[in-house]
Parts: sequence; C-alpha cells; structure tokens
Amino acid sequence: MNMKVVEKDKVISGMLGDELKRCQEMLGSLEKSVSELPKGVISERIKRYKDKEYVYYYLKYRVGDKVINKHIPKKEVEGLLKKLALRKKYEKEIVSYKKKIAYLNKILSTDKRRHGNSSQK
Amino acid sequence: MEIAVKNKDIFPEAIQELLHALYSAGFFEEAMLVGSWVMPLYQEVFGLSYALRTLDIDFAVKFAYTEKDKKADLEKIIIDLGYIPVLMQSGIRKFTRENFTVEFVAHRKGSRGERIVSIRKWNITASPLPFIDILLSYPFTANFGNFKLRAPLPEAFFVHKLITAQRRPGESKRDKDLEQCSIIAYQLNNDRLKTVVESLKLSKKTQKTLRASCEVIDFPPQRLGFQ
Repeated sequence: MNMKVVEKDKVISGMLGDELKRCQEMLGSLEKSVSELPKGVISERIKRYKDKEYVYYYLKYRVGDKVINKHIPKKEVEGLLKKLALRKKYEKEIVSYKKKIAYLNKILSTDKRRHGNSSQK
Repeated sequence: MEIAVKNKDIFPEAIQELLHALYSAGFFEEAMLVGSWVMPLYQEVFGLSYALRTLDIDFAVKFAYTEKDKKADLEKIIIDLGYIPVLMQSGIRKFTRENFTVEFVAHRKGSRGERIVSIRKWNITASPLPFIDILLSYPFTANFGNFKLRAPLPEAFFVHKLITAQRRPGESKRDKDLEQCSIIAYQLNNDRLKTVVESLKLSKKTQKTLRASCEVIDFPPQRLGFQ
C-alpha cells in the first residue's frame, strides 16, 4: 500500500501543474471582474460663487496618454468609492496570483529540464 | 463521534479564522471540510502523515431543492474576513484571499445535469459532484476548543477517493487521490470501512472502478467486502 518514489515525484509535479492551472483560471476570472470596476481616484474641487462654496467631485483616470476628469454627482460618490476600494483589492489579489504563477512556472520548467536531462543520461 | 484536537495550530491562521467564522454561523451542523485540507486533521487525529495540500479549501454542503429556512449569509461572512468574491467562467462563485480559494461542493444525483447549484439558505453556489453523500453521511467532529469542525471519517474519504480517482479527467488528480488513499489505507478501521461500503448501492461500473483503484494502491478488495 505504498507508492514508489518515481510515482511520488509524478504526484508532486502533477499537483503543481494543477495548482498552476487553478491559479491561471482564477487570474482570468479576477481580471474579468476587475475590468468591470471603475478605475482612478476621486478628487474634490471647491468653487466659490458669490458668497457660497460649492464642492464638485471628479473621477480622475487615465486612458492611454490622456487624463480624464469625469464629473461625479454627489449622490454617486459613496458607491463609487466602494467600487474603487474593491478594485484595489482585486488588483492586489491579481498581483499575488501573478507572482504565484511565475513561481510555479519556474518550478515546473526546472522540473521539466531536470527530467529531460535525466532521461538523456 | 467527537474528538478533541490537542494541537490547535494544525491549520494556518487564515484558515483557522475562516473555520471559526463558519462554525459560528452554524455551517458545520450540516456541512463539512473536504478536499486536501482534511489531511492535516487526519494527521493530528488519526496519525496519518501526508504533507501535500493545495491552496483551495473545499467544503461539502447538503443541498435540497426545497430549502425554506435561511441560515446565514456566508458570502457576507467570508467577504468580511477579507476574501473577495470571484465569478468563475463556469458560473460558480468562489472566494479568494492571498491565493487561498474557498469553494463549495454538493452531492449530485444521477447523471450530469446542472453545473452549479444555488444554496440559498447559505447564500452560496456549489458545484454538484457525484458521491459527495458518502462523505456527508460519515462525519466526525474535531473539537478545537474555541470552535468545532466536521470532516468525513477517513474510511468514507478513502472509499470516495477510490471511486472518484478513476473518474478524474486528469491523470495528475487521479494520482493525487490514489496517493492519499495509499496513506489512509494504513489506518483504516475495518468495521467502519465495512459499514461505509455496505451502505452504498454500488453499480457494477462503480465496483469495477473500486477494484481498479485497489489494484493501483495494492489494497486487498476483500477488505471492502469484495470476493
């Protein structure tokens, strides 16, 4: 009721391959989710007119080389801030998955090279 | 069957936190931890040593079409722990945090039908998979003091893996399943194993599957009650 060392090695590299696939699938879904969320930062502009002060909110984001300032009605600011915060979370998770994928790719390519060399001997 | 766990740190802190939150919501009254994360539990409780595990944390949950009572909003509970919900291409909703992924599975009756089931009482979606009822029918409770956790008995986990290993589309997953079986095989309780196998109505195809898995790990099929 035991597996040989060669089989164990196969199990480990298979598991790493599955983990890579899982991370890639998750990354794809995270990137899709993040693309549906707004990007940028909210800035505030105060304008004075006669004796009164008026606050306007803008969503500042970049499209290529252009910086866009889009006016946001006050009632939409809170909801937008939540979405921007959520986007940050998604982006952080995306970075973490990209690092993991790079790490797994490195291990798996080393493993392939090792097996390639040993089979040539 | 309830077993007090002496070493409280068998799970990383992030997972302990998740398990504690799910226990507080009453989730383990009718659900359980499954997948490779039961292995640290088996190591602690049953002395089965197996170090490999993936970063996806799977939970098996009971599913009925006629759910009336709402239990708890698990989505909110998990998001409050810092996880983010992710809609996968399959339509299933998973949760992720620092590469850990939380997902749910439910028992699937009959042939392939729906790809997702919505468990409204917990506000989650689950992937329906065959033979999950084997796991859900034979639980044990691990008592960590500040929380309790349900998981399948090793005998149920073993039989489930023997069956599903041969149905896996990928060779690597089948190898992993059978390797786990080969480790568990050392510590199986014969009476409990017999109870699990006898409770199942196994088709000829499934019996053949079981025998094939037994052969790979060199496990005598007679211990499953086969001739």
